[in-house]
Amino acid sequence: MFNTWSTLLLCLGFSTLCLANTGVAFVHGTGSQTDALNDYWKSEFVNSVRQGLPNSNNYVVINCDFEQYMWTSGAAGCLAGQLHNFITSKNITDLVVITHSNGGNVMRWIMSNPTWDSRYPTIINAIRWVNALAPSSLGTPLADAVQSGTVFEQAVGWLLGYGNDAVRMQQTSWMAYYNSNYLYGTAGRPSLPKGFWNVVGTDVETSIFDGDSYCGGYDLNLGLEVTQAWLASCSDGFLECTSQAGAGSVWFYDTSATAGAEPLSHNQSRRKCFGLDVILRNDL
Amino acid sequence: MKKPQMKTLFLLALLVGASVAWATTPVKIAKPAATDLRADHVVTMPATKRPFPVSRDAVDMNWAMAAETEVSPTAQPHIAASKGYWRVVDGTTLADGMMLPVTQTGALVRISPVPQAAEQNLQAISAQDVVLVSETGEAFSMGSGTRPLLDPNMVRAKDLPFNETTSVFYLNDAVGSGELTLFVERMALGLDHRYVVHVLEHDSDVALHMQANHDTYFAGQMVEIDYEISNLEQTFSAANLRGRLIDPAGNSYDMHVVNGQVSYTLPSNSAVKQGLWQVELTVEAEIAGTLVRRDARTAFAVSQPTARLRNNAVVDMAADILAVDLTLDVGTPGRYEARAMLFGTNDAGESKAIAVSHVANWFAAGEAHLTLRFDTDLLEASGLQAPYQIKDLRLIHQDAMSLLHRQAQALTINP
Repeated sequence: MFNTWSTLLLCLGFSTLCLANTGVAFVHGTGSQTDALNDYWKSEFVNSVRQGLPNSNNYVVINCDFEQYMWTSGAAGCLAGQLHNFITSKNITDLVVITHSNGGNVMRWIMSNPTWDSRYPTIINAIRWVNALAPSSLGTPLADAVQSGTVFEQAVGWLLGYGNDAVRMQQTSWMAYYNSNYLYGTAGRPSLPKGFWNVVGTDVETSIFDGDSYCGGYDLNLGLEVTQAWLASCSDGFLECTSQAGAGSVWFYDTSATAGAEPLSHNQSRRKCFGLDVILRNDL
Repeated sequence: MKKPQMKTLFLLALLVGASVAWATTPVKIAKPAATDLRADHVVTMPATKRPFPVSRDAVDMNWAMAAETEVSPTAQPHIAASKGYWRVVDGTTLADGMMLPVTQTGALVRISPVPQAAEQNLQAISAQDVVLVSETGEAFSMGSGTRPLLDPNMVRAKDLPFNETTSVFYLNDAVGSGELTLFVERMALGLDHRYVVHVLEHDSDVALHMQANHDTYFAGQMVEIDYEISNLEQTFSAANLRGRLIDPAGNSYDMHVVNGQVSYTLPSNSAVKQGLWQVELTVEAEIAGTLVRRDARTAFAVSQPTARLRNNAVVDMAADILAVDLTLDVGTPGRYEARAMLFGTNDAGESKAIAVSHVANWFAAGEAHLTLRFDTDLLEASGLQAPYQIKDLRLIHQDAMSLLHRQAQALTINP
């Protein structure tokens, strides 16, 4: 009885939150996904995060082709379709979007260009905020490195994908152009219509003797040790910290919030590593 | 601590075809500055060169801006900075020896075979087969001149972002710096096979900076490149200067280099194709008697003037909305968007941001109207007063991803 009355009183004071129907969407990074739940995020991560929802079934894992330019029907159009369907079919009024890597760019495209597609305003209106895990907001020198004149070195793997356009777009000069002209949220530009909160990964730690190096997959983390050589000293192995923090606002740098103050490599920031899932769960 | 949810106001326009003109206060949009972008004529692109249309829905939206948001008076093109270079060479060059100038020890080197057509069975070059010869003629063979980051066989298994047959290594400090020579003793692929050799000197203080004079051009305009090769103390003259443009379709064009000036006049009849043009600049300079090599790249957009803004507009300040009706001349049918920021004045007379508005619709060729709307709730919440200003006014051809108009200071509204 007391709990019911106290809950009712709290709801009267915070009526918006109590009447809201909260959902969470997981938006993957570069690559064409058909089973992002198992291939990109791993189900243990998604299932842990969604426990923070009042209704843990109010979640969607996006599967789109983010090897295309962010504005195309296969990228932002696909993302908009799945988010719009999720919002309308489940009457979601309070949507937290969790993105990783280039997924942050595609989400930022939607929020910065509301008139591109009549579905965009509905999506934007439903968003509470975006939690952008290691977003590729200013691009990466690695995308520059695989392009030499007319020679495009076919990049392999989950970091840069198998297609051309998303890699080209994430070159630092290209992202500078799109940030200046089509995307909001970077320095000197109008702000996004909803919050865009960055989780920044600052290092890659791989040691065969350190169990933390195995979270997310030792092999993938080892690869990021190599790619770090191309980047500034503060990086998650794929993105420099300045790129990850380049749009919106920094929520936290990894070591300031993770269990054991562990850094999050670009691979680990999409996995159930060092309590990241708990942080995201509590944020819902 | 996270900020609370931002207020967003959403209006779905019910416009069909051209919007109704607001017969209230006609105004003149300010003359664009020399640094603004403005189409002074329109073209009708043939159907075969038009982009694929995206939508015919009319949509508009406006939302609040942080008061401290500023609009830069000029659009600054990207400044590229490079401490590295790359070369595409064939196996013969690697076998005969390739000059590898470096300014300091420990450079990062990547060698990657370029796939030819649907080529399978690419083979990596092993660091063990790399011979480096120092400036003094000392040879470092059997991989002794290198410090591998990863063995090529491990690259295949590790799902890296590079081609799976990439070789990656540091140059050993013992090799020194200056004009080194790199040989490859054994290559599984034929001598006519091409390779990308990429050198990166993270810790060098010699950098090439380059910048195009604009970030957006209209077809037929001239691209000019500013550049500087320098260390922390001085700038150096460039020799062996080469510039190349690559269009979105992958076609390349050698830029004109005259007396150290790098330029190129863009073709006037290019089809509208999504993606950016790239500029690559290759520079060599002599610093303290040593050859230094740097390559850099940047990107810019090229638009066809498929529509333009006229300089007449109409402002209406109704009870619930501040509307600015813009007039377009549309040359090529398509979906067009106007966007702009509204600023107001505080008690100190300073101009502060209030809101941003976007509006888009599909138009046939001819006269068209787009109306920017700013909800007066946002004006009231800002606490700012007249005079209001419309800043960062833009016109975009959405189908083509083309910027057609960008004006930092467009209009002052003083009711």
